[in-house]
Amino acid sequence: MIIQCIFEGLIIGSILAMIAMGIALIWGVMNVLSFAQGEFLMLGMYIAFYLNQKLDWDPILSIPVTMAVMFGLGVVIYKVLISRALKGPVLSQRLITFALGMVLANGMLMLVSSEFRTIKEVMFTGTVNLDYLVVSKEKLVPLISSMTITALLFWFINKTRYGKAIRATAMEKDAAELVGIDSEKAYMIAFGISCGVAGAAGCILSYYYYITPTVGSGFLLFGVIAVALGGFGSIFGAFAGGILMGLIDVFAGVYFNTALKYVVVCVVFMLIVSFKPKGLFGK
Amino acid sequence: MMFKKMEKHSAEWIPLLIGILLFVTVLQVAKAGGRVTEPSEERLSKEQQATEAEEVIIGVLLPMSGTQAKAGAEVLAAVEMFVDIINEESKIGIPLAEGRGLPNLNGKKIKIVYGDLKSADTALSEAERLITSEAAIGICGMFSSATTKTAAVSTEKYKAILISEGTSPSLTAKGYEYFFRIFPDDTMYVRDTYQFLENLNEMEDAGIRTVAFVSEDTEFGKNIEVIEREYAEEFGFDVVENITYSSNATNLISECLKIKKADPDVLMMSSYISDVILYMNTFKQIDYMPGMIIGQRGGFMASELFTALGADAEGLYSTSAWALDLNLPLVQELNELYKAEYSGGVDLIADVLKCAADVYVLSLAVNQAGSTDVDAIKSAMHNLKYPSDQLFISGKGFTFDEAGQNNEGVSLISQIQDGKYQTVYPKELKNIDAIYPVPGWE
Repeated sequence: MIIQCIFEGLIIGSILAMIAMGIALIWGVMNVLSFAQGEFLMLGMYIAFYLNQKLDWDPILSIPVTMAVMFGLGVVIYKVLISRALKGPVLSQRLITFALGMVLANGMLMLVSSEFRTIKEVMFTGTVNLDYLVVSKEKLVPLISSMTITALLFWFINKTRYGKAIRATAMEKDAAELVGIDSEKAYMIAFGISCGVAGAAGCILSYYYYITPTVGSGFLLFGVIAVALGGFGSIFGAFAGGILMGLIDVFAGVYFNTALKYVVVCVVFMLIVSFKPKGLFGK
Repeated sequence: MMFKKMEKHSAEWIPLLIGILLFVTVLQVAKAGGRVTEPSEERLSKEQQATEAEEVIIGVLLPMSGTQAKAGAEVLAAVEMFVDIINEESKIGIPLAEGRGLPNLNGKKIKIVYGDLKSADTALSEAERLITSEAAIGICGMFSSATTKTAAVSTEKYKAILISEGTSPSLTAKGYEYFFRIFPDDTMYVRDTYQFLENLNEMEDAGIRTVAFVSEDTEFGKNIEVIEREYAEEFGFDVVENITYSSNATNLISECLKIKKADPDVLMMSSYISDVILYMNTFKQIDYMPGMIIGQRGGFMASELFTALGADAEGLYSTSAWALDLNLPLVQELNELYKAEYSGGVDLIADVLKCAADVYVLSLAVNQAGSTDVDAIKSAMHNLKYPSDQLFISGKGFTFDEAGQNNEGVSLISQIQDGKYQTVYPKELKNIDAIYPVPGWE
């Protein structure tokens, strides 16, 4: 049972980690808390769903297209909304993504209705029973995909020119501009990447989860807690926070009480914040 | 400069304006003799309006936004169908279908005014709005037990009929004066579930000994869990697991792992549709299926179950108050009409029909009372006459007790076989044999 719990915790955690990393990236770079991350995830799910329905694409294969579309959407949202809100008072900066999330969820409710949809035909199905562990292929493939995307994100942020520019802007915007980094461009790319990663998480989640316009709100809350657990401003911290959340969720449910598993998550969060106010990996 | 001038003038005018408003208010209160209007008097003036109007107004509360909006749209379509049957000439063989409008009220037509049912708070405020502003003589809708309780605050205060299919037994224990429920409550559904299991053991030698409960943590799940526990003891079944889960959970893996470990013969669930989808997907992923999964309606009695789960919904059981395979010709007639002209091809399901039937029964009572006076309608509900050969619901008709519960209703148990709900219990109404245990995922 313990091995099964670890496996399932990693699956849930990997999705939360992808949402959390997007939130941490935007917060770290431009000090904006992205409350719309859950809705970006939801849009990714719908793109995967319609690519599956119209072109018969498997959700995993639709990840590159979804990420590209969501990156473009993120760039547009940054240019039209975020960059302008950044010039306004702090409260507007904080609330603009909250309003955006509401518009996206309700807009989708009007466009596609609240009907619960699922992708029934996926490429990898069935289970492998190892006695001590039942491995569902419908979850194993998404787990591998989310780990791959996480690795790619780390590589991009740490090894590429644009990634270094984003990190430099996050550390000290004025100094970065002095050495010739276009901070506006860095902001825009960071927001686009954040949307793209959430979109990819949506594709992965649609492999085994239902799709409806309000699906993102639950994930957002735990994504934000994961960021705070890991430490605001640290992408690795957000990743670790997400994985930790997934594991606590499953272990608390199985070995303590299913009705109180989220209470356990919140107690662990409060304890960590009490002893390490900046989170596990916050600086 | 100009703005400054205006600001200065505004500052001078504001106290004067407030003074004038206060003076006018005091004058109006004095004119009314300082008398405060009682809610019932306010209601009376609305009744007079309704009597004078050409239509009898019924309020219907439905979720028009959010995750329940699709179910709300289905209920709206079914309500429209019954209203059209009453208001226009129809060949459907039920009372009030022949002529136009309500014959005992000189052909007055039924008019539905809708309100949005988002939460318990909106149930209260929307019910109040429909009664006081729209002159509704009664309220029906897609209520849960929790929203029924808040809507009842308004209907009791303003004296309006409330017909709700919230299934909590507590609704009839509260002493509401104007509350009615046509279909069974949770006690009947749960008792019949255990009787069904007992019947399977006796007739089919099913060997069912253990049960487990999964209940979401709002009033819906909590109420049913209490009744399930009580009856398990009474009927002699062992409860091997009892899970309450958060209705806001993003995953249900720990719940499913615990059930798999307990491995009950029968799993009884009280969940909404999103959770049912998630549970079934998770059970499939951990390669587990108990001998029987039986839902207490909710998400198990929703048309989205078929669209979201497809073949994975096969074998699921649910308690129900109505079924398309009832041996009553009117059931098929109504369903054909609904599919052809109102729902775009979607079949009527029990929870949709129940809400629409509430509106129809209220219209019958208004016609029998021959008046829009609420106490006359209440009296007509208690003495409702309905020809037994024109029934389209299971049971013997309508006999409401003092608490407002119809004692003639019958609960059914349906199983999804061949992609549709089929009645498997009680034996006098069953259409097909129950499959137990249901096959695994292979």
